[in-house]
Amino acid sequence: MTTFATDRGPVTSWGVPRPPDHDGRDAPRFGSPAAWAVLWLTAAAGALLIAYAFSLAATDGTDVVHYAVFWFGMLVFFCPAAVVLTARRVDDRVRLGWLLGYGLFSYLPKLLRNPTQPLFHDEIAHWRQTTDLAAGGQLFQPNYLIGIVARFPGLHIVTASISDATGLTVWQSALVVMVAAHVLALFGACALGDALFGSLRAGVLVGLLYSLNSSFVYFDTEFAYESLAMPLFLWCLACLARAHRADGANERRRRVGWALGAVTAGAGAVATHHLTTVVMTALLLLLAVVTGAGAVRGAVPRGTAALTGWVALAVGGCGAAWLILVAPATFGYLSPYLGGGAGQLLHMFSGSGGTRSLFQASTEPVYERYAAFTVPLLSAALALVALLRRRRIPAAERRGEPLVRGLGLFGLMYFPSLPFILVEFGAEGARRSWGFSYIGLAVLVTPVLLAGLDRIAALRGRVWAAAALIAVLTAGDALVGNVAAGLDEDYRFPGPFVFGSDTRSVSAELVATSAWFKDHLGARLHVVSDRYTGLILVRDADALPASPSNGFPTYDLYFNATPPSSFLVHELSSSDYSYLVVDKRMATELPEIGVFFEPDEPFAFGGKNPITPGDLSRYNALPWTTKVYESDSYAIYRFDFSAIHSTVPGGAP
Amino acid sequence: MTGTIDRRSALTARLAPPALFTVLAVAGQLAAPAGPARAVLVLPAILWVPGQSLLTGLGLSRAAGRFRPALAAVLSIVALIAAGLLSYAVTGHVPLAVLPLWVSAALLPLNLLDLPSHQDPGPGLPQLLERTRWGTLYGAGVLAAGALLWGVAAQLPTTPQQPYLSFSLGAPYTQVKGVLPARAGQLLTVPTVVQTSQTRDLSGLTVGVLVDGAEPAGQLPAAVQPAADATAGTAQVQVTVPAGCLHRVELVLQRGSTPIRSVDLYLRTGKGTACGGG
Repeated sequence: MTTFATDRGPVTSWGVPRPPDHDGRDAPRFGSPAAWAVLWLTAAAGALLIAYAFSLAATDGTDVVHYAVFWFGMLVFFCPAAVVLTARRVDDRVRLGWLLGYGLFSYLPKLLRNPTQPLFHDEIAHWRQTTDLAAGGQLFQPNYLIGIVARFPGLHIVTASISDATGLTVWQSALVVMVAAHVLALFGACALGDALFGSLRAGVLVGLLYSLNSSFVYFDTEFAYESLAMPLFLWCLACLARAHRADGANERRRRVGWALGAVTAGAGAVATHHLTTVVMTALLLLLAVVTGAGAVRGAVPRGTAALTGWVALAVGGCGAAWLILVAPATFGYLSPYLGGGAGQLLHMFSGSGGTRSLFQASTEPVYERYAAFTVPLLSAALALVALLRRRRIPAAERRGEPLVRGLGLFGLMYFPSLPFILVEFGAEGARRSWGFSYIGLAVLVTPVLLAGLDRIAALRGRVWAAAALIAVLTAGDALVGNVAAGLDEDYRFPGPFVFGSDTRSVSAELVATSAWFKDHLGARLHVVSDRYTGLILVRDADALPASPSNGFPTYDLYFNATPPSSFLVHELSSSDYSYLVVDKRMATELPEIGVFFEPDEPFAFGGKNPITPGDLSRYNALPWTTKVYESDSYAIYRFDFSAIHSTVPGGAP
Repeated sequence: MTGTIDRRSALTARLAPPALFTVLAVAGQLAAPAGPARAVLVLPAILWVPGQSLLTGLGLSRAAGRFRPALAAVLSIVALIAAGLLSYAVTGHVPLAVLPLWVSAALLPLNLLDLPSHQDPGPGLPQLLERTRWGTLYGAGVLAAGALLWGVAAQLPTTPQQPYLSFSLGAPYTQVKGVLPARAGQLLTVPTVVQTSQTRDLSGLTVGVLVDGAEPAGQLPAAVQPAADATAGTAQVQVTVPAGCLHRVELVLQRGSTPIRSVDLYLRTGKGTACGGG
């Protein structure tokens, strides 16, 4: 059986010590001050290059040079980091120092994207929720962008506490929390690997592999509940793995302590994020089943199985109680993504449409697209090798690590999720699932990669150099491909205005319009607007935008040329909606992300604009909509529903 | 004797940092100015002290090994969330400014639960100081790199913004609630405001009036008067309310004779639904 080297000597893939097959005297050493100098220099150089790439993108978004500069900057740090983190003979402190450096460095792209204020859709929703909490100390206040956010206040409590206790602004506090969460997620994955394989080197590799998931650099770095829940989820698993390891006769108290640690971290995630709660509960139940099955066969101590079941029940119980008692709307919130995705997938396989083309109208360079396609192939190959390799391991040893097996099974879920990326409703869910399944995939393939790295370390001369270079470039390819598969350019880079993009629709004109709204009309006013204008009205004007839906079809005010239904008028009037904000480009341009309001709206992703200029300009002559403001692209109307049936000479009916 | 000293040293090393950070946080809240200076003093008490106390209480402080700081941060975050929820459940309010300090102080006694033993005294003060020195050097490196990045990024060009020009009703008409009651023949003075991202846009702008789509006889457009900073201007427009039921007064910003923006008012001189009276 292949062995790999660790800081505690060579071990098998299951963490069982084995005699070394060679002493690694010629392997590179990292531990000198030079390692720290290289860390600082490569991180600083990479950071400056990324900043330069962002400036290039901001000033000329049409070329793709900024992609090359960005990746050069990322890889300037990533490649040496990958070498140092996975090398055989590295001092623990150096390895952890580089891991910390990698965690901080990998937050830079998101930090540089919007360093001074929230920009992403979910970010603005959470920032507003936190700002309201910091101002009033009241939990569960309604959120007008994402209603479910209000029922998961973990992130908001932590951020608002830091803000109020330190005097930092809410956004500065959010950055503190997000940087901490990002680094903690990386260390959580590392701690999990360390506990499973009994090796810091293996742990760091698990962390590194986990960090390659498509959400790590951009999505799980935005100020949103999942970004904080993810490290709690990972530390729940890490504590459970440590509890499994503490199976000595005198370690009962420690085992219970680790189990309590797992429950504590898991309970924290429950109060923070719905999807993490669901996935974590399902995974813990899977681990409990796998461990229980091992106990029935006598391969796992019954105490360990009972402990795993206890942790699963405690965390799952917390999750179920929270979802039922505090956040029952979660089921309605998540079901369209799950059901819709599955339904569209069935349609796709039956040939009746509903599909989307990958990288359609994408501005991403060709090498990013190819890299994105290579990642599933690479992952499949590694997973296959890992599974075949396990079959060669004696059954007695194979049964000894139920968590490795359970997490490996969980990691294999990555592959069934891949087809969902081809349908509109499933794509978002698939991408989000990778943030979870990648930890299982990392655990699954880490032994294979460590064995491969050990073989490379045993090579000499040019062959060693070539093999090492190929390994590093493959890791870089995985990083490039997964980031490309995560979010599109509008989220990743600054640049010129793009209509219908959450992040690029923000212009100086919109910011000025929002400022005028707040200064002259006031805050906490109910408004009807499109998605993109509403975001900045929430952020800068503290407005309360309508959340359109089938039951509250405010989009009819834009899509429908006829007067609004009496039902809609009643709903708007009784809920004190005061203003209508119109982006005049809605009649002439299609939104970049396919929707004007939300994915359930009529004509979503239709490719044809249902709005005519007349649909919008009619409000200029209706007595129930007084135009109080107009700029190049925006108009603000004051509702007066008492005049809904009135007409003026020469006006529209 | 040596064992006792080691144990005392280890006990001091365990208790001193969380207690010290809690005291520093209290002092920071009382004396330091709000912002980064206070954050430096308070953040360790928020993101490390509660978790470290919990780790010790669970008997995991030594077992956590090299992951102790990270796990302490995770548990601190959970402790803060739990305390916030508990506070809200009991009092209906979360005292955010003082909650982290309460949590830190309340959990401090947990550090006494898992006293160091003769066999495993844990790290003493010298080891702790060595770690502190290493952490300080690392932190200084991060800050230096961050300062360099910030300095360079601030000099790099950003996205150029398209110029814009806005036109709006001025106070008190910005607060209009809809159709306004008025008397026929009443003279209204309506202020309007022009704002622009570029100063040159204000030159040659006037505000004209249309009543029910027609220009009132003898009504001349009012010139926009630039404000001191030249990015804003105002124009006062006088409108005589005509007789009838419901009228639309359109205020048109124009450059020469070309209309470029407009706002409007609806005036009701009669009663009833048709006149916008509900």
